[in-house]
Amino acid sequence: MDIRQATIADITGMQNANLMNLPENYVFRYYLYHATTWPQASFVATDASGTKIVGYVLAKLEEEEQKDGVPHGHVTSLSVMRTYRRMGLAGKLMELALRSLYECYGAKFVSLHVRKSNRAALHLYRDTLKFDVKEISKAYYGDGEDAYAMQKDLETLDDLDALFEATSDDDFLIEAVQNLNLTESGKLVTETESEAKTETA
Amino acid sequence: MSARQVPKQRYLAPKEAASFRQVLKLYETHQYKKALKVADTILKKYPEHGETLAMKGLIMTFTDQRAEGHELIKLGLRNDISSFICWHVYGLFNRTEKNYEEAAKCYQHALKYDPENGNILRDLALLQVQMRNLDGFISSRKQILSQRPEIRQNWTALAIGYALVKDYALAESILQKYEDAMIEAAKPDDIEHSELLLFKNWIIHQSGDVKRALEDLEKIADVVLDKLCVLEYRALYLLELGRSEEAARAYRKLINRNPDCKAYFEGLEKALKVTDDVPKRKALYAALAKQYKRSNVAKWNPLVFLTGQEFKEAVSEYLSGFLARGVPSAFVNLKPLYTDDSKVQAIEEFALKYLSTLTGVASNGSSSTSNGAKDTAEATPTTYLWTVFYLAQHYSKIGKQDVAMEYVEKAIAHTPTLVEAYMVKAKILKRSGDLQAAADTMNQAREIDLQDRFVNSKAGKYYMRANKNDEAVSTISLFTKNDGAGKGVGDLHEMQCIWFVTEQGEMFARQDKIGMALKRFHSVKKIVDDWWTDQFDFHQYATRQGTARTYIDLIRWEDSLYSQPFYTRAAEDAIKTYLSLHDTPKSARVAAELAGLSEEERKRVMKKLKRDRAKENKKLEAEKLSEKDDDPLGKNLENTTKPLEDAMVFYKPIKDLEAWKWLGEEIEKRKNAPVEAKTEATA
Repeated sequence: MDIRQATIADITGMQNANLMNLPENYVFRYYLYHATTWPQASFVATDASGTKIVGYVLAKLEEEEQKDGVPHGHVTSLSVMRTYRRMGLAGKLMELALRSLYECYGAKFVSLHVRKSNRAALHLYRDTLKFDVKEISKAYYGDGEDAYAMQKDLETLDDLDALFEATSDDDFLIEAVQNLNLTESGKLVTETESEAKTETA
Repeated sequence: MSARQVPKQRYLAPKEAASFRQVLKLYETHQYKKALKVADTILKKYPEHGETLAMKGLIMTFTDQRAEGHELIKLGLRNDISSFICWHVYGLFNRTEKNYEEAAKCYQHALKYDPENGNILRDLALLQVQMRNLDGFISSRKQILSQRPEIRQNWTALAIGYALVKDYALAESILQKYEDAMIEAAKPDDIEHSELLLFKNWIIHQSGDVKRALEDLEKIADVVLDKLCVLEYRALYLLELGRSEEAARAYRKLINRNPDCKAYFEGLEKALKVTDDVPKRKALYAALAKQYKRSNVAKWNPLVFLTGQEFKEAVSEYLSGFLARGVPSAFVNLKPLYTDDSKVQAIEEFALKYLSTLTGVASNGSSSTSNGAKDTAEATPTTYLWTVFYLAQHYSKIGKQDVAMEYVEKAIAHTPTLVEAYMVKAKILKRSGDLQAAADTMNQAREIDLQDRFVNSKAGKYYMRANKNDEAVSTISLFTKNDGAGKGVGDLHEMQCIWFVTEQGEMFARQDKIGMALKRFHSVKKIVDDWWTDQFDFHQYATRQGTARTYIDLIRWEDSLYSQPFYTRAAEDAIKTYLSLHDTPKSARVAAELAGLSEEERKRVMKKLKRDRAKENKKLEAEKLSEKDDDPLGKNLENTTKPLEDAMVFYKPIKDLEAWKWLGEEIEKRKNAPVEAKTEATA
């Protein structure tokens, strides 16, 4: 398992995953257009060998003339192979894409569509990722199904780097590595400590 | 132009000259009908006028009169061979024909007669980079830059050219010169500027001067919008410079952003110098897994470097976590470890032991187990299900299909609606060699969840493995656009679905439907060829966007396009099929079928053969890939008189790859001994 920014070499794997999983498909050129316009916005998950794409999020900046000139992102497509579901991949991919849209392109919010019948996706967007349902788009899909048009405000994203600077110190890690018997409570459980615990339990 | 003498054949009276300028303008604004009308008024007075003829021809190629247009273009050029317009037009025509080499020649002729023409130079540069004539590309871009130095893209394009030939010093100096001369400061949200700053930084790093790359990075860090890239570059540079503590910190920051990216963990390991020290490495991961509870990588990586008892403990914890939470993907995660027998053994022991502590759960549905195994503390009734499900995949992987089947049946008995269990059962059947039962079972899985395309795709694939084309096509067509010709198959072609096209081709080959098989293999090649030509529009586009690093990635990736398995697999299939056509021509195959039969039997067999074929053909005829598909059965391909030459078409793109040399040798062998091959076939 590996989750990282998508590169050109990932496109055919993303296209393959998309064709395996979803009814809305795109030709290579369209992925290439995403990659050369917003290279930071898309992410992939691979299998343990690191070569096969098992999940992806394809995202972009909305190009239509913005109302109020507010730039916003759009998630074109997201899917995870069935055999890799329930590991939280979709959520992790989305979080990375949203951060990129916000940081690189100044997207104030991000929008997406989800099939009304797709309860798993609705759960992910609404409950896990805190998207709001903005409206119902009638007959949005080729087969006539309605879509929920959803949105999430991005300006509330945490500044992860600042938080990290403020709260994390490396000492415990360095100690963990240098001095294998470190017993700093809460952060590192060493051999001896864990053995002691099970014995007393 | 005015300074030059207009040659007699090009002269137009002022009125017509104005009309000609109008034609050019109308062409540029795609008003083809009007443009043709105006061109005709010129031709009334000057019927031989080369440039007008050429323009008229060019416009006709855009209005569905390709052949006639082509003729006119050639005629125009013949009438005015020293006109840059005529050559440019011919170049444009060749470009739309994807005949890039000819197009480039035309542009070069055009430039002979108008050396300063920026449009033609730009078009020539596009062709040069498409054909990887990088020296030519650089020289064209140099000229363009000297003409229009005020345009940033012209600097970017030349820098890209130098970067492509790895002349990083020149690439950097070109970008630097533009920055130095930049009159306006970049706007804070200028992503193009941000990308180009990173491009220059990347160039400095590529040149090998890591120290300077880091200095430059710190200078631009505040302006660059791509924060993640700055963090990644910084971590890498620090590591390469041996500034370990800072590098470790930088990688920690990255892991904090994305605790599932393997590269970050590798970087941190290197920075902390623990890569070759198992106890330290283990301690590091223990600490990270504790801090990043959602990270799969932090838990998974130790499974690779730990051995013996330590591996046992680690894998027990990893696996029980998956099983207790009911995550179906435990096996696909552990699969890479199955190359190590001792690890396989340890996993099996654990899973069996774990199961034995759960049997109580299975029978009475209660989750209280107190067999002393601490791992089962959070076990739920479904834990039993996921454990037998795991064991089924485990035994199937190690080749014990019978045992695997027992376990998967237990899973199905426990939860008869579990799609995953049927999918695994189908795989076990496939590995046992019962392709028909495998397909039926995969279809059962599909029927439980009709909404899911993944299991639909799998069912389609399994049907094809069982040589069931009808079932496969009707299944996959449930998720395709079926309004065009060819139904689902046509849509999957249009959507460039290589896995399907290849599988179907291989199925046809197994069934001896040679024409259909070849047709599919050609389709795969066509898809890959399209991926090659797709880059054309991005030479200019990416330069304009400033996404130079992505563009260079694209160029290098395209250079390796045909060495990728999606092409080589179909190429091997196609070449083997052509070789068999060469070795056993159709007549010989029919003869072999009839050998040893009496006259009467022969007639009967022939009749039946014919009837079957006709029936089959009628069905397949319905599989036209598009309205224009005039050979849905691939008869033209099958009836080739030069199978070895056809095989070469597939071999050419991979001829320099060591792994595929043997295919070339097979073709050569037959080419060099044509007589022998024939006598063998008839013998």
